[in-house]
Amino acid sequence: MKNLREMLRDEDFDGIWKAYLGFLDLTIDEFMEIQEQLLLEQIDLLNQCKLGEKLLGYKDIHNMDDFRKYVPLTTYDDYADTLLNKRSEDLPSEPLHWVQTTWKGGKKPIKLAPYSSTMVEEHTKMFLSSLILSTSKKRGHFTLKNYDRFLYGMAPLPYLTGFAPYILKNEIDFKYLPSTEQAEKLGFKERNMVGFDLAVKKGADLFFGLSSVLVKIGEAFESGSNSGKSIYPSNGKQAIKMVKAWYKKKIKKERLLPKDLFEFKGIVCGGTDSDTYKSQIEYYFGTTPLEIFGGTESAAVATETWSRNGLTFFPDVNFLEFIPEIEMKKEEDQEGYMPRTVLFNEIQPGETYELVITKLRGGAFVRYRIGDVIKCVGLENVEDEIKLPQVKYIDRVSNIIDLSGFTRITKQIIGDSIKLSNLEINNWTACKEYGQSRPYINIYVENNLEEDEDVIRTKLNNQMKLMDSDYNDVHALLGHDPLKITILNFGAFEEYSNQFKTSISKINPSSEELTKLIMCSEGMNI
Amino acid sequence: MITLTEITIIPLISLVLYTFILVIILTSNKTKLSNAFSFYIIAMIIWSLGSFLMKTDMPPSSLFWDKFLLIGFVSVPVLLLRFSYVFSEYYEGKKVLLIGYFLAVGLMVLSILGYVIKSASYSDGVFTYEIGFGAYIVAVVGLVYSALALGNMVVRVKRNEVNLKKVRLVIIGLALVIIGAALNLNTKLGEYGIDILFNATNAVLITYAIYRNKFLEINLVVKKGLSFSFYNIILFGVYASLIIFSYNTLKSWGVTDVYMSILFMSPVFLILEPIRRILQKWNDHIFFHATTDRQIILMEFSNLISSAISLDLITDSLIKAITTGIDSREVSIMLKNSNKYILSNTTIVGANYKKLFIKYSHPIVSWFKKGNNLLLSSQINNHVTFKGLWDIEKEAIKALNTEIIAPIRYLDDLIGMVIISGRNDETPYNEDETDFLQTIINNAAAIIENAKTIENIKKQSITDELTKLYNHRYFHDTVGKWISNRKYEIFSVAMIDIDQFKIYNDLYGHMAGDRALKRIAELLSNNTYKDDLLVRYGGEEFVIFMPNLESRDALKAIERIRRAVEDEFLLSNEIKEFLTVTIGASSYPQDGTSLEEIIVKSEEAMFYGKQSGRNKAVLFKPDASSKEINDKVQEQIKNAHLSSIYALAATIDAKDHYTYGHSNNVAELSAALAEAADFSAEEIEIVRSAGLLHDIGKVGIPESILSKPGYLTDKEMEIMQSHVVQSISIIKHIPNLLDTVPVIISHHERYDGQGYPRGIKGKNIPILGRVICIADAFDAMTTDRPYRRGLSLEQAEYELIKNAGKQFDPKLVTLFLELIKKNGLEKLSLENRTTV
Repeated sequence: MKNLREMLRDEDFDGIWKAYLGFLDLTIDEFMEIQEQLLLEQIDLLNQCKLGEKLLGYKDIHNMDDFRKYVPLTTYDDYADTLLNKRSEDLPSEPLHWVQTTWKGGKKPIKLAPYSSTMVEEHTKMFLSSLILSTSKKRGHFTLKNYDRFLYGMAPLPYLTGFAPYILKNEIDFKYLPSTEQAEKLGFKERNMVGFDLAVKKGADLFFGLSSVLVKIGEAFESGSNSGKSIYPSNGKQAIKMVKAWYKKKIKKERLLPKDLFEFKGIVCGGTDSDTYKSQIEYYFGTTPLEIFGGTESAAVATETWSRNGLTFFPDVNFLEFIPEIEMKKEEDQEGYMPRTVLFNEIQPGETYELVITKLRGGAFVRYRIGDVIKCVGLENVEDEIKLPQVKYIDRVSNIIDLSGFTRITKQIIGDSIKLSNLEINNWTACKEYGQSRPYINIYVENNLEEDEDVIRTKLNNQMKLMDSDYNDVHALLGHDPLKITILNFGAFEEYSNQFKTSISKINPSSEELTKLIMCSEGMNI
Repeated sequence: MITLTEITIIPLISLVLYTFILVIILTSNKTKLSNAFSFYIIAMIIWSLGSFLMKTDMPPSSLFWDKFLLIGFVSVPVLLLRFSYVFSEYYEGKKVLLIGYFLAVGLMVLSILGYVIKSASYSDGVFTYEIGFGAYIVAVVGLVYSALALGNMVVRVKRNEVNLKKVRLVIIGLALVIIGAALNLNTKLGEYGIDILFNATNAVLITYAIYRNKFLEINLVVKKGLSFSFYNIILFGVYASLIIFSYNTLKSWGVTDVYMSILFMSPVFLILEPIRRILQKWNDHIFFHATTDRQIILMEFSNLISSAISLDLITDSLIKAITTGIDSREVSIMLKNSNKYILSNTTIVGANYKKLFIKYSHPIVSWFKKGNNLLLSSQINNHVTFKGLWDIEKEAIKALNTEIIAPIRYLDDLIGMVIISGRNDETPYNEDETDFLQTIINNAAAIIENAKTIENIKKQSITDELTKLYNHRYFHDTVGKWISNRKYEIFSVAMIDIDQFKIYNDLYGHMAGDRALKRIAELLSNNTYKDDLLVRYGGEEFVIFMPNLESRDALKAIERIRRAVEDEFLLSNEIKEFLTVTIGASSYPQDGTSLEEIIVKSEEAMFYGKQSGRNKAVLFKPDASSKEINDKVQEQIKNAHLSSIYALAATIDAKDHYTYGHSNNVAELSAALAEAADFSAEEIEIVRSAGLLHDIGKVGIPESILSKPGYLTDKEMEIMQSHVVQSISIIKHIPNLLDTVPVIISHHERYDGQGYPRGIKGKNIPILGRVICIADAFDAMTTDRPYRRGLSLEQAEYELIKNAGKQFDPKLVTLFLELIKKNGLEKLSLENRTTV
């Protein structure tokens, strides 16, 4: 079988489109057929291993209906013992790699996810599909080439995104900025800076990174606070661009933006707030980023297409189920309630769902709640002529506040920070709010000692930075302070409890709940 | 005027040849290679045209045509290098090519400015030219790039990146180009255009290499046209030469008279026809030999299979015809059976026939069912339809070295598939070959279907329909033949009988019984060797003929089988499964001299195993089958039986003394009722044991539910009722007590079908179960409970009568009431009584 490198050399563009993006031509029935076929394979594999025995129970499960009826929904707790101890022999297939991620609010600091060789192959293919699409303007068209210069701004090994440069080597030749050998010796921040300088020098064709990082690079560039080194162009095209940029900055005295120096063919971005950052990225880089949605446990799940208007799911990476909002609510209200799921062909436009995946191709996760919430925006993408339901990523499930795609703030982190910073705050609630350009955490506190708002903010901010290195990174890497404090009058929370006979959620209360709380704070009867 | 001379003939021939090649390329499929090659040919056309016209007095001047030829001349080496890169799939030399293009353009400019050829003239058939300094640059650049083109090929071959067979002609051609270019430096030789000749030879060699390696699919019409032109030109050349030579010879002999000439030349005319035929044959061989060969193969195949009815012979012949016709490395045939497509025949050595199959739901089957004709491996890898392929399915496709899959269709049904690997010479298949493939498969389809039907009928007569194993008849026919042919000096026969299968059938119904039989057949099949012959001998009996196996090894083999069945049923997590097998084996020649004798002995061994407690693997021993041993064993079994019951009863007692008293009472009452109903002594013993053990499943019920006063919740009731099925999970491990299972499992069934666990009614409830049901209810009614006193005898009798035909068997109720009336219960040793 020819890989992408060979197909590009043979200029077999039709073949490439069919192989990597053929799934965009599927009808919903064909999509479901693939899902069911591969689920049956997965059930077969699960039936032959200890983990499967544990998750499937002793029921004789051989079809999709029984699978959904009898297998319970799972969380990482169900796998922790097997996966954190790397018990390969208990898994449906032999892992080739163990991919790591943080386990916020979990029993251990990290989570591990096994990737079999087939899963690695599939993940590579899906990632390439997104890369191809990022350079595409219409169906069948793309400009991806061998030896494209690739600015790679994602986490290193053993995180999932760190694998991409290595696994892509079997498929296509990219010139990484910096090279993988050099990147291995650098930290995340240095790597991005070196990469960016190299991109200025040589030019860059592709970028893959967290949306928040891209915006940070753009901002740093605009304010002139980049590495400051003199960089000389290594080719004529880049030399002309640099001269033009110099003219714009020095003669016309205009602000310089990255798009003055680069002409990215494609930008692929990931992370929870990609949608929020899109317009800023376009402003700085002159290219609309293409969003890819995935995670450590699920690998690549969905990708945007050329219109960048909705995510399309990959049919053969995960078996997809969706918990409707109403079921999420029921679960919240009734302890031990097992929410009902719907299938991909049952989701409805305008509805919000929590995603549940079963990893296909010998993966370990079965009816696993990855903790992401999506919204169905349509049953097809008319503009791109895709006849599959389209979704948008909304956020993490409501008990976690995610910032910039790599920070997961939990109730415990905020609670502990308040305690350790010796602030006399008894009642609080926190939620993620969206500013004009970026999201932030707003902590509503009841000020017992009538401390100054800034003092509270500084103390809490410092403590949270100490408690959570990712939160610290938001400041260190992205250079912005995502914390806002809203002071409520003493007794607001008690009043809320009295009036509504329930206490307000600590994390992400609904906007309705917040309004009520603020009104209670203002001493108004509702 | 243009006249043909020895110095113009070479460029002219080359020009014709190149035009000929260009036509082939332009009418063929467009590929990167044909594209690269056509640029080289166009440059050569410019070169040879310029060279030809330069040596004539064609205006404007020889110098003009010389400069024109140089456009082609300087382009050829770099285009040749480009072709060499594309041909060898080398993609790293783009910079070298770029430099080459710049150099070529630069040299063209030099040439136009007159620095390459200073002057050129043609007069009186003589062509002269004078070279400038640029000519040396042209020569050096040309040589370097031609050498690079050759070097690239040689290096790729040395590194094994390219097959020498594929490129050897190109290498020879390139070497000729370099030699030709080097000769050009000599102006005398340069006049003749030897370089053009060598380039023309190179072009012919490359064309042949491309044709041979199928990089170009020559259009059939063009191919016919070319063959026709080629044939006529050669024919004309040969005729003309022969006639001119003969005429000149006659003339030298002084024969000038026309009539005389015709007379003398008539023998020459006579040999023209044989020469034409030979030429025609050569021509056909060059252009159409493969087609002709395939027609012969098709004809031979059709003749061969027209009378064949053996499926093996047909598939063998089909495979042979395909491998010969299209030179495939491997060919495999998969044919449809009742639930999947199985590998029927293959050339792959060591192919695993059991693992290589395609299910009906396989995307490949759906692909063909949609009417598609051929499926290429590249489509399987890349087409979205095949995204749902399982990894094992992909492995199966890989194991068959799949390049092309062709459907075998008969009357709209997909009856099979032919799976073809790549060709021996690693070149791709062309359209002619795939056409041949489809034609031969279409010819074979009906015959394959016919042979399959005959084979199925044959197989059905010797196969057991349920288990798909061979039957009794096949066993005797086949093994009988083996014995009479003395095929095996040593062999063993195992007789397998499923223990308590009747009970299993009674309990779970015949459907479940059939499923169990199939599962056991599969287990046996998985635990036998390749040369063993496993048959369903009858009912629940199987026989295995084990060639070359002595008794000691036979014991190991049957013990393995016994354990496999035990693991699958008795020791499985499914509490309702209790089946085991008893296996007896005997060996030839030590236990008998005929097959019949060996079977009888193995049967004796099997019976011995049954009598010694079932679930046994026993080897025949002449002294162990005697009556006295049998009696001794029976005695031992009886003792084991009783001790099992008492041990279990003690278990119930340990849980709750009240339950023990109840069990004892139910045992006594049931036995008394069975006796009153004239049941056999064996049945009375069974019902007594069952009575004692009927609540054994309660040992698994939590105390909180077991002794909960008042009503149970639905959930608690469900748990409580599960004690019936739980009993089986305990009793099934004591083979001597298996007889009690149907009785125990039905003691909560009601005569009207409203009971549990199976909800069976009337006579479908085992009779002893109906007996226990009455005894159980009666004892429960008439004994004291911690929270109430027992009913009086009259009240209990009233309840029995009221529920006769509903909960209880009315006939048995009548008998029981009679028993009470006769004071039959007073003789019994009942415990915990107030009323009796």
